[in-house]
Amino acid sequence: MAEFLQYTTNGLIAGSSYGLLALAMTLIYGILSVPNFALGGIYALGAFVAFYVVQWMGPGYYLFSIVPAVLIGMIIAIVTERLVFRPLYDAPHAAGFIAALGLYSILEGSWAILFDPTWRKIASPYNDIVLQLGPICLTMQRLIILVFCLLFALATYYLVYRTLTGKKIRAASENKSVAQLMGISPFTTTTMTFIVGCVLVMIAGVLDAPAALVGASMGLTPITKAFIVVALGGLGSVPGAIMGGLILGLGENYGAAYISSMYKDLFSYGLFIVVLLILPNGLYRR
Amino acid sequence: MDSMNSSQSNPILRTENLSVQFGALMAVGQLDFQIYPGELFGLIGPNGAGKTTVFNAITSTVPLSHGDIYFKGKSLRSLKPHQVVTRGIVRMFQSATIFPKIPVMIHIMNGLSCRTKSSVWNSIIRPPSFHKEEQTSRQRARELIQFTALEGFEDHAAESLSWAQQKRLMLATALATEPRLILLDEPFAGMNADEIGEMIALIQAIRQDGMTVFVIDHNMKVMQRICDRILVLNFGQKLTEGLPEEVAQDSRVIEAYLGGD
Amino acid sequence: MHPRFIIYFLIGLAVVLVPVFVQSNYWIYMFTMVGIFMVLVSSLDLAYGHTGLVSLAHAAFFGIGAYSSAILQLKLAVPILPALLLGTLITAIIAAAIGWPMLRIRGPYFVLGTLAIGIAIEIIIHNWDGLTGGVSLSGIPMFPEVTIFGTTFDLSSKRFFYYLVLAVLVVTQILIRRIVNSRTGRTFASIRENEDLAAALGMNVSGYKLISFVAASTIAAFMGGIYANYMGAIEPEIAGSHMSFNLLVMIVVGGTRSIAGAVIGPLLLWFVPEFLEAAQMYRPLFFGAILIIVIIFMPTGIAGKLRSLHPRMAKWIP
Ligand SMILES: Nc1ncnc2c1ncn2[C@@H]1O[C@H](COP(=O)(O)OP(=O)(O)O)[C@@H](O)[C@H]1O
Ligand SMILES: [Mg+2]
Repeated sequence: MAEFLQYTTNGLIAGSSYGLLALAMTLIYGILSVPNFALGGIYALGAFVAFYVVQWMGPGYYLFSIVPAVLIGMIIAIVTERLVFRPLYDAPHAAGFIAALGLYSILEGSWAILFDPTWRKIASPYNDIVLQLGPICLTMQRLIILVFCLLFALATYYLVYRTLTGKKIRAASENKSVAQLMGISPFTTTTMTFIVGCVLVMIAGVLDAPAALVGASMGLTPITKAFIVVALGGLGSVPGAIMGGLILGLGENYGAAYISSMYKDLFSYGLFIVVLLILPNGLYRR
Repeated sequence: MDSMNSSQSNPILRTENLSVQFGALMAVGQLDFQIYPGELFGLIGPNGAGKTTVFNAITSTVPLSHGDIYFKGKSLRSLKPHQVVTRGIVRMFQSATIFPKIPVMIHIMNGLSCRTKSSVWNSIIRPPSFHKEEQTSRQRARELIQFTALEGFEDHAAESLSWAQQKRLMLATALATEPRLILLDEPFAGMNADEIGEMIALIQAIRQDGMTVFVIDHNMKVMQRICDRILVLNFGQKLTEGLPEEVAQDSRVIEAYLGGD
Repeated sequence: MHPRFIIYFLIGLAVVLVPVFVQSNYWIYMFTMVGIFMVLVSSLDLAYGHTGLVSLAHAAFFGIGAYSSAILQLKLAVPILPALLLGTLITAIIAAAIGWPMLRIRGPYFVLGTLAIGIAIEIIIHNWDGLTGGVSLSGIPMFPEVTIFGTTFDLSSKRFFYYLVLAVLVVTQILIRRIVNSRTGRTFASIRENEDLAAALGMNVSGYKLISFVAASTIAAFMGGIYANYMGAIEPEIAGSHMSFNLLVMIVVGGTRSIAGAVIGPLLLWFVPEFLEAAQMYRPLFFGAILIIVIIFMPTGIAGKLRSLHPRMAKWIP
């Protein structure tokens, strides 16, 4: 039982981070119908921001690195949306997807050149604080991941469902031309959505960095899994992304614990393929 | 035409309690009708009445919630859309739905695909039968190009044609599948009077060859002129069914139309 | 003879004579590798360019072909030629088994599904080390020496493989041309242009998608088998999503549905990074940048762009 609780906690932590990434992906998908793989490169940038903030300012400033990460996330959102995705606004969806893969490749390549391609660890002060909550044992850092990811996911939920901006985003993702008729500019809505998505992913990068190794290609696996979550949760669905993230995190950890840890990654891809075959349109229909 | 005579033979298409439901919306409810061989059967009704859904149900593009559809006495239930075509039913979509980049000649040959046999192996080895089939396909496509007055456009991409030409191209492509029953969804929409006249002439010409035609349209005047019998649909339900002049005078039809549009 | 064909003939002659004039084994190797990519890109074009199936699992079938042929030779001592054919057959069956359920999934889900399958196959190859040798499978036999009419040919030489790959490339292109210019190919095009209309005209959409997918995978698998014997050692990465991504970049950059495209894409994306300094490091940046530039400014790829410049160019570029 204690073991089970431990695996559940681990699953929820991993799942909350998948959920945050998936949330970013699903918002952008809703607007552009493009699974934006490039978010994986932006996620890695978030981790690098945390790394350099800690290196230059000291471990005490770890959580402060969210601030520059958010700012950089906004800039990179605007730049990539303008330069890469806007010219492809009317192109077939496959073009946008392939361009997103290209952008990921550029980002990963750039980080490898700029920050040199070694793997490194971040000395977050919260890595060393070990909490014992009943039978569950976890570091402060991992608790921070869980709490912050859920907080930011809730904030996004609020933004999408309770604010005017969110209303516009949802209208545009339901039906572009109708939204346009209602006077919602597709370009500003798209830019807003990109900003929200990229900021979320940068934050996820900052949060996950101390619990993982930081490197140029660190975003590949998480973003691929976020993809899977988005597909499971229903492309474009916000609650689907959050729930799907948690389910995948739990499923992976139970799978690794009770089936085979060697095939931990295979488990999520296999689960995805099976679900796709049973429900070709995802778990949630919008 | 002679609906009295044809009603004595067996219907070519018969629906039984045909119902299609989308969530809470009953798009088509408990619809019964028969179409007889050689007939030109019309379906009218206000926007959103469920007309296109009837076609979708016949062609297996939406699942039936209840009921069944029989073509030449055999149920169409559980067939895939392409198998319905092999049975001898083809449809023309509401708007000009075409293969945009494909040249007219090949476009029509695509309709012949379901009646020709050439396999991948054949296309690689290219035995005499392969060339023979290609030749007869081309010949047939050429006839249909002539029939639909598209000569001179053989190598033009479908999307470069005018609206009326695109609709004629779709008719030619549909006819290439050698149907016994053809479903036309608003074939006159967006056309001027001359183009409507040409389309009517084409429809009447294919009937000469014994084709059964099932047509949907808004244009009451045109429908009255060409149809043998008309079924009126409103909110997915049959309002009435009968000869064009009967239907036109039906007070419920007049009300549905005035109230609906 | 038309001047166009004289040019084609000269290009063909130059390609055939490369091993005569190029002495360096390194360059022969480089050209052979480009040839292998051209075969893979041509076969991917059958699925992607002609049928509209965006597959991120193409390299997986190249990898399965390479591994199954190599394993048959290493573990079961099957001779090279039967192993190659059997390995290709096994891969075709695996492709059909994967494709049959996958291809009923539409749009973005299909792409995501192929991505997952590509990654999963790489993981399986990596972890099933009893069969696949884990991080690397080495010791794959070389082609033997054969003596015909008193002359001995060393079939394991770099030059022989150059011609072998060239022959596979030519045959692949002929096969694809023949398939495309037939009822089958017209069905592929219909599916690419409008799936619903294709079904409404009586075409068995999922059946023909499967034919296209399996045909493309089978060619890739055959090339994979030859690659295994050429290299003598293979790694799971050849089946991975990175490799599939590179193939997709090559076809998009070169241009779909075009012989020129299937040649230009691999040439450009294989050789240019080689000439850049610190090639390994700049390669992802280069691949990504050229991909985005091409997709925004030349949606039909370089070959498509050249064709659209002038009606005569359209004739000249196959
Ligand atoms: N695939 C579908 N899913 C949900 N609702 C549908 C679908 N197809 C049609 N409908 C709805 O069914 C009703 C009838 O549609 P339709 O048959 O297209 O009408 P008509 O062709 O008579 O104008 C409409 O309210 C439409 O919104
Ligand atoms: Mg309609």
